[in-house]
Amino acid sequence: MHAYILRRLVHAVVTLVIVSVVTFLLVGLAPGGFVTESAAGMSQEDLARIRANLGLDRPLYIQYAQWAAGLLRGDMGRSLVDGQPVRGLIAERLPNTMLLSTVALVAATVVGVLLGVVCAVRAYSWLDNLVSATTFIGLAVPIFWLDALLILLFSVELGWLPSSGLASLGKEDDILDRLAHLALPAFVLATSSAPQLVRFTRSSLLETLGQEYVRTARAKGLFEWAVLSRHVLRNSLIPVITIIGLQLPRLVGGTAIAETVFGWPGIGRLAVTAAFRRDFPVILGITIVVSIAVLITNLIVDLLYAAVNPRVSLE
Amino acid sequence: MATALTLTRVQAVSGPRAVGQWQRGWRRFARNRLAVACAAFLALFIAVVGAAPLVSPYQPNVGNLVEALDPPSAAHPLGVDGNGRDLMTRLLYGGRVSLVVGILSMLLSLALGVVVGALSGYYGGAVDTILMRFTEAMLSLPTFFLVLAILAFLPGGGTIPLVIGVTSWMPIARLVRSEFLRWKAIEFVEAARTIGAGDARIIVQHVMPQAMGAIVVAATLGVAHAILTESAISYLGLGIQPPTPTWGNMLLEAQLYAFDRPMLAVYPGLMVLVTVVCFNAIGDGLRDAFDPRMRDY
Repeated sequence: MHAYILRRLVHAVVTLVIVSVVTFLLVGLAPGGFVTESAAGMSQEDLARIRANLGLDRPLYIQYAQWAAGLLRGDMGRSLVDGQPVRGLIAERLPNTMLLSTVALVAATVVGVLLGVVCAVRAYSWLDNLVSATTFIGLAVPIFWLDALLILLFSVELGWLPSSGLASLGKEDDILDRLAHLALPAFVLATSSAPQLVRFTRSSLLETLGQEYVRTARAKGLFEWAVLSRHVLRNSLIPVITIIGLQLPRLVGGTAIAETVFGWPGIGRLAVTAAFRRDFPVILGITIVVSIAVLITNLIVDLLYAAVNPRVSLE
Repeated sequence: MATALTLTRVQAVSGPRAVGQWQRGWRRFARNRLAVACAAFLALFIAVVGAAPLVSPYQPNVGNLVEALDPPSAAHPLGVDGNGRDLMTRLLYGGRVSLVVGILSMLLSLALGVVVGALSGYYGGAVDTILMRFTEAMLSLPTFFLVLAILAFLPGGGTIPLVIGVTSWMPIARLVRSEFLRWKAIEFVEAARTIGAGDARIIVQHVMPQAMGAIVVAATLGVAHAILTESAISYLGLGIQPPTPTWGNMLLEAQLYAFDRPMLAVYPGLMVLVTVVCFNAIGDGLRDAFDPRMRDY
């Protein structure tokens, strides 16, 4: 087991290095970037001085080396726009994003897996058809549009839920108020990954239900729930764990839209703002932090997978 | 029974690429009512959108401010937007953008995915390790943030398919790789190698056709993904810029009038939804027809 964990760790580190190089190159190769854009009416000397001040005049690989060395010390540079340390900007908003995406992921997993199990057990019933049709539409719904519709319905028409922000002014400690603010963005985010989970759980379960050992279990007279819980679910939910891990980058990407629409002060919204201001260090920092989070989660998922699945060989 | 026997014999004589297999696939596809309906609808939609200047008497970017926010009427079946422009006309022209961006992005991600997957699966060893490490790294990136970042520095309509393509080839690469792993050791490929066929010939002539079914499915679903992504970035204001209409930026503009005319915001999203549902249904139908082994990849 130790060797396995170590190998997975090495993989994760290698992946992280690739991720950082790819991001840095893709974003950094853009000609001129921040400085040319905001340089209207400046002389060439001024421009050169600004670029030198920001370190943008050095070759790309040196810029990368300096940035990567800083990253190892937990220093991600400063925002090009307001000079704030990127680390602080992210640290301030990360908990909000983690709250939002954790609630959404848990909700999507619980609902998605439950519906998937029900659909597989009652395959081709009206309930299965209804859920399948809904998930089919759910897969195609543009998340920003759903956001707008929900705000129109629940905030504007019905007035049940607040349309933006983390909490109402002066009510920051009120749990109910915070939950009300969380409801819509979390629902929308969950909607973007639950359909995949329903479909995957259903097909995984259907495959297991066709196995010989399930027939054996039924033939020896077990109650249906015993067959399901002891034989079917145990085997068919294992692959679902991997899918949950794979959903993560998509879910976090969704926060960019959900947080912008709902005015949720997280790193997704920060990324959108930074993109508009061409704030290179901020975007870079966010991409790296999110990638690290995804890698750590996938590492945990892999280890969980190995722990619950006796068929995985650790050697 | 008789037909089944004949088909098997045809297959045995001319190898797995025989017409019979494709014909059977198409017959299975034709029985899938949802997929066929979606394909027919999409074909009609492409025709209408392609002929938008003939279908609509209005210009997409020319408005009559006197008519701004008018409700639906005989002259404007879906009403008029905040700048006095005919909504239906803009939806049609927006559809052109979505379809072109969707297809271009898909072609690029397909090209990248097929090349990476084929090299990785065919050669194995160190090539495979390096390419797959890279693919996995890209898969764990929050690609939507990367898309935003690149668009911030390289704005412009042409960049969008490029960026979507570069950030969405990974599942296709994995898929093509697994197909290559399965087919490269099969007898007729061995036979081709024995009579002296080179790597390039084996890849293109013998293995690729086997992977074609899976690739077509992935391509169809890829268009759907690209249309969704384009509409999202245009909605955030980082994609194609007004006045050129796209479903995403139309929705963004419509939010100004959300209280008075909510339907202005409903239609563009509905267009995305319907188009993506169609591409997904066709993709699923093709998968069931041509590659029943492959489920939700």
